[in-house]
Amino acid sequence: MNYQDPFDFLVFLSVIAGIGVLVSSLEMITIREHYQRGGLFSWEIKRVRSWGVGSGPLFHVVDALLRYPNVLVLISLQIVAVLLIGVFLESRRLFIIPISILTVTLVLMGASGKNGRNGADQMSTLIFSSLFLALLSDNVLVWKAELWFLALQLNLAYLTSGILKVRKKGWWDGSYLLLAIRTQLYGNEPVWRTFRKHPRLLSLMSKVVLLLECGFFITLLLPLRYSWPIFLAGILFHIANAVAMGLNTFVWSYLALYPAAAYCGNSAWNMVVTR
Amino acid sequence: MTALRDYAILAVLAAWIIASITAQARNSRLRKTRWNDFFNLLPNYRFFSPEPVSFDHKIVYRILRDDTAASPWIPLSIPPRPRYCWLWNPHQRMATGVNDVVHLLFRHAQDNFWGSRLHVSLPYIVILNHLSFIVRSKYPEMIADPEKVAVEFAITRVAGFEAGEELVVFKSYAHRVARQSSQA
Repeated sequence: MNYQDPFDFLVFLSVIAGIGVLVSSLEMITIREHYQRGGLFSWEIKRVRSWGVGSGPLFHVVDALLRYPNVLVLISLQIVAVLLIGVFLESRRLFIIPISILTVTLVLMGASGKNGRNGADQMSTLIFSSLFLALLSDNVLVWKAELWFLALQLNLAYLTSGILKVRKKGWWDGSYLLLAIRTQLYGNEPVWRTFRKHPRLLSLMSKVVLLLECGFFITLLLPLRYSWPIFLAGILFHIANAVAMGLNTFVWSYLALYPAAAYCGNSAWNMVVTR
Repeated sequence: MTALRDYAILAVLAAWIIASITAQARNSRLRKTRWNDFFNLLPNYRFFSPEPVSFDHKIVYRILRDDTAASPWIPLSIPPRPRYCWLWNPHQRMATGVNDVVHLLFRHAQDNFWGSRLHVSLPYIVILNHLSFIVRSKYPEMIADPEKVAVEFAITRVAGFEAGEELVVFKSYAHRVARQSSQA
């Protein structure tokens, strides 16, 4: 890998994001009964939401593709596309093929609403659809713009969540973190018991989350040799969320954007230093 | 031509990031547009913010028959999170799906328009449709005559791992369990 070439960074991050899509797609196939008529994620009911959008050709195509069992074909295509990323890794001309398949399938799945999809799936959609746009060009400037786009999305995600949290006292003293971790949906009983027993640890961990989410944007200003501790904290944060809260696919879709942030940080620093 | 294409891509990426920033506001007009509704291309980054999810909501249902007593309340079961959930966690999607539909139902209940028409709102119908499907597939003997069978559901709230009462926060009407229709 050439650490200066933006295309290599795009390939690298798409491999990481691709693993996330692979896990997500296999999970969706595992619970496929929920996509059939009468299932929790049945399109036959959800399509009502889209009636206002149209009765035009686009809606009819989407409608046909999201019906069961066709939706399983879409999900399977995502798996095939991820495998093709591995095949076309070295080919700049053919690399767009799996990316375009992922773009079409992920955007179509997005039309069905949340439907068991989470923030990680949404980030994967953003990654691959914007990457598809960027790969339509062979201009290095466009590829760099794509890396900035992805790095800004990552920072927007952390900053939005962080800014909303710092305004609440409950996040400073850790009581909101305790509330989140006590639920069976996102929580973890041993962690909850530990935090309840050690309020100082709870408060510290909550402040660390605030600091990380609000301060992550610094990675866009510093080269990797200075910003690596922030990236390391981010990696540990996502791994902790996966282990304690079961947010497994966030690890892939969010960490996929770290190479983009690292590239942008290096570029910004070099621009300032060389000037 | 190539330059024009590149400028167009740059313009789309710039517009997309601006739209993404704008869409983070709670009452963002962008978020309410049908375009966003359709393809979900504008992200929502309000994870656990400003207040986190602090209660678990569960859906329970029971089968009502004209000729016998009602069945006991049956919980909509979701398999527990496995130990290796950091790697593989398919049933979290079901748990999140239930949580999303329940919260959407609560939002509709507070809405002036939907408040009185909750039984025809999308989240209500999604839950009812799913439970009718479960009753039809799990208890076929009970619905030999669908005209005499109804399903009713409730939503309960518990404070996660804390010991406490399970409160009923919503109860549906009773609805006949129709046979599987051939056309949605």
